Amino acid sequence: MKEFRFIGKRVQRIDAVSKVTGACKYVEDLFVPGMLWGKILRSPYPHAKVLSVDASKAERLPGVKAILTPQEVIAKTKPSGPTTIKDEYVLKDKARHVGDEIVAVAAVSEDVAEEAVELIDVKYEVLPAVYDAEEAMKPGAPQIHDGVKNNTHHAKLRAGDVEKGFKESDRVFKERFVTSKQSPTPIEPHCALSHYDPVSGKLTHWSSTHTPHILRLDLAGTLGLPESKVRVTKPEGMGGGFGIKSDYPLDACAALLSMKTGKPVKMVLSREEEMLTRTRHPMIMEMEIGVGKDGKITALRNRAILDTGAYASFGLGVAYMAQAFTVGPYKIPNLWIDSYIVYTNKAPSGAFRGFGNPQVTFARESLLDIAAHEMGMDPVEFRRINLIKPEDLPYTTANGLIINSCGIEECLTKALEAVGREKLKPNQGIGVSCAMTWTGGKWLPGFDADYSSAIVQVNEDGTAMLFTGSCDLGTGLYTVLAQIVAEELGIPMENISVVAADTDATPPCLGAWGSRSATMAGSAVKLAAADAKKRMLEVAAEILETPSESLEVGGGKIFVKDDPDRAVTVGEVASTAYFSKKRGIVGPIIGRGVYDPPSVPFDENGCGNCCATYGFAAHAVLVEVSPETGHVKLVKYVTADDVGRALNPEIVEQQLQGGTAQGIGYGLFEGLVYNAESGHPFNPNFTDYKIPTAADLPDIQSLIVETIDPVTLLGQKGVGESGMVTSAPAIANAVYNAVKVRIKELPITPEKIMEALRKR
Amino acid sequence: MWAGFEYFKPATLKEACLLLAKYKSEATVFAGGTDLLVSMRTGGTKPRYLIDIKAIPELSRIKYENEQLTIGAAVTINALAQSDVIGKKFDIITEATKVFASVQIRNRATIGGNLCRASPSSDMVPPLLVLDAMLTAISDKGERDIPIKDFFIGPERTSLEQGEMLKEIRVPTPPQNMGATFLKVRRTGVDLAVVNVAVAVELSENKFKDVKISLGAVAPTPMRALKAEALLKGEACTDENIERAAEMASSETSPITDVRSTAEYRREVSRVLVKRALKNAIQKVGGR
Repeated sequence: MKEFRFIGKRVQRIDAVSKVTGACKYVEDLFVPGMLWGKILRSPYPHAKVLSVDASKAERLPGVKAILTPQEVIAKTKPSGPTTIKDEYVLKDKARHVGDEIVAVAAVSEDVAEEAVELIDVKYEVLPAVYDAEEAMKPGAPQIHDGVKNNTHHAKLRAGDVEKGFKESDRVFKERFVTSKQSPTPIEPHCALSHYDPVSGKLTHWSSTHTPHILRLDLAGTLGLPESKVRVTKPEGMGGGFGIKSDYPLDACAALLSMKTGKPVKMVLSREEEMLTRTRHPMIMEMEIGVGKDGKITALRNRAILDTGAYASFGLGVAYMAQAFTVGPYKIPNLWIDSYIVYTNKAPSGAFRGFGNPQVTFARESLLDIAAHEMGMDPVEFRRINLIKPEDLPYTTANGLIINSCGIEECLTKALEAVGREKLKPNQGIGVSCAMTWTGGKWLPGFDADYSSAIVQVNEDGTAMLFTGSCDLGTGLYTVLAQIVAEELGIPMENISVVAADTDATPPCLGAWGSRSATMAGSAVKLAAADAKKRMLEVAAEILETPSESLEVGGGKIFVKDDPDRAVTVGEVASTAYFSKKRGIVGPIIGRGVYDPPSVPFDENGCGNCCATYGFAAHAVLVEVSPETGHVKLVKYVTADDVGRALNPEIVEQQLQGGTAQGIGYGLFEGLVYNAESGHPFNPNFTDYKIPTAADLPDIQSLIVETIDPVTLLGQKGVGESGMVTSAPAIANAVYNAVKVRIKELPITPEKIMEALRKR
Repeated sequence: MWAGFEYFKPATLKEACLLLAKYKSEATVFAGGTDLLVSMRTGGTKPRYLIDIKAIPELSRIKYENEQLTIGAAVTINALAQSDVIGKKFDIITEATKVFASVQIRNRATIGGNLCRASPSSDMVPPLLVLDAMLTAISDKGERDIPIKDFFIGPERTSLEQGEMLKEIRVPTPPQNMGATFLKVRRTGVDLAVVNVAVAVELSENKFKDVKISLGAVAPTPMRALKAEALLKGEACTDENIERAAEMASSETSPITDVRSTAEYRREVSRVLVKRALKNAIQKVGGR
């Protein structure tokens, strides 16, 4: 294969100057003449029926333009939800968590809107509430949604014969693990600017969204508009999202306020509101493995309770994906998993970087270490015995995941080597963990789509425009997509512009989630660019009077392979195609690409090859634990990832390190804590919700292992979630090796370590 | 954001005192605003009259005269951190400033604001407690000295009276043979204290001539561990004595369990920090 010119290179981000100079615009920077501000009155109660809404005082406040009540919303709209469970209206006549949306206001300024919210008098009938998922599952617990018995939805995975697997085992290990309610804390809270034009009947909606086309579908459905009358667009800038910005009623709320007033309405969540509205699913897992005399894992059983909070949100999808990836990068022939998705009166849990995988990876990787120590085995060797190895490929897991490329063993070896085996000081320990991650995925039974599409147009001046429906959340995606176009068309990076994330201008894409964009959007872009190239070569062949097969692209030119001086510039080719009839060739050079990977949705047993390709990660961390204060110092942190092909190694490293930083936060610090009397979180703010900063993080060394996947079009795999998925158990295992205490409940705080040390 | 206030920016102390006298309980002194503005934004505080004291020249000065340090109430934490004289003669203050919140907050937050906020977990109070600082309150009726140990009467409550504001903090130069140190345990690198400890020891022939131990975030106000201090005075600088004093200091605390930590952990870590701080302070003056 020929050498790449742009792919695989540390190309500078195309938005670097825009970001550094502050020119880059985010939703909050946008102003439309006549714009109003929207605010939401949120429930102060965790569970309460709305008896009445008296907004007369707010209506009389000068500057207030509209009040939206739950009655109106329920009469005019449909409930929404990102899975088959549609359980959430934009505004509610029954509050199910503190912070639930009850009334919305539009006013001439943010201050007036806030003042109006304070003037609205809502009478509630307070109902008994439940915060603990296990309590909520019991008969007689407060009923949070009508018709959902024991507040519980169920999902399952059945693969192989688990009874037989346990019978064949020599030892069985079972433990209970608990994970926290992590808040995604994107630097930019969720925001939207919605403008309904009553004359044309069209809604133009700017949102800090992951999923413009899905949001269009959702808004159209909720508001009763045809899809073509909804335009969703994301401005150039987005301050992260980590999943939560792919589902939330804020967008529809802004749209409804705009439809009611005929004016543009902007809504921006405060940090506190952000923390009250979407989180990761806390999970309680009772996980059990059987191990044979040879160290091979014969069976795995897991009973997982997902605390989905007040609304299901993505809960069902999180359960299915968590189930599918519980097996991890190991050859385990028999699996039996039950997932209970349980409502509680807390903030809804939804999509969040890792989507169930961090939870099950924490449990499995902790359990593997526990088992290895009890069997007197080296945890690394125990893993090696069970890992999927190159000679096993292609390998199909018990639950049907088809692994065509897998570098996990090399990742583990490299991570361990890099963390070093120098003599450890007292109270130091090394921990490892391994994980399997997805790239996109058909994450719900019946959901048979994982597509992206793209259009590439070549201009008269020799530049190319890429039209993609995908979204750059701040990850550098547009740079990677531009690299693919530059590579295919042989024109320099600076000659590529990216038009993205606008449902009226860019072709459909499912959006940026599930580590999918560089692979799904990237593959669509590759197809579109190849299509444009084919046409470009046809025109060039006519100009140069040579067969197109004899031509090559590079340096902004098309030239004859064997005679590079016979060349024509890309601009000349485009101009010729646009304007001059030459042997009947006329019309612009446009390429079209649609990519939908050869994956399948889960069957009734939660099995099936849900992803096009699978990523693998190994983390190795050296910690030092103070036996006096329980403080965990991360001395050295190494990640090693099978990324398929690193399209831009620098961006890959940024994703791996950013994910690991968030995973370290999950491991050591993060989690919303609720007051069991009032139902309010104690810490919906950065004073008491601690995330790691540069002051807390070690230098994270990220190693890249390339396996060049045979399925995806450039051999690439997703890398956006791997760091988040793999970190916490590596730290837990390292803490155990340092001071011999096992923390099975996240986060691993000094308080828990000290308590465990006292009991030891 | 609460916007229903009138804003004053007096240029002199006299003007500020007249405003305080005029608006009484409706007046709120505004210095760095790192707590106040957040509280106004969330609706927790709705002041009627804001009196910004940052334009009063003497409140933003650090002076060192006649062996005495005088810090104006509106001096920022980073100004303290960068002061040469404080670094040389009062390095325990410098130590505290380095672990106080974040750089950005330190550029805004003031020493006066931190003291008057009277948070049990303040990082600036324990060092000033062991240095025996004297606070000066001012009103239209004149000035009044308040020893720092009498300044805090409860969480977020000080002994300032209506119409009074904090003018300055005066700190006597520690004797040559005194070593002082500040330690803090926090959840992350930018955080309020889970526990903090300040210790000052004066040694004479490897014996404790004088000892002051102060702890934060383990009682309703920053506290002195008087029994632990008494235990050490006149005694030899031995590990056993230090351990005993650390135990005693820990037993004098009355911590609570909250979202930041548990009572049990705070009590345990109080002991550890007092022990470490005593050893550090002794080392600083070349003891042991």
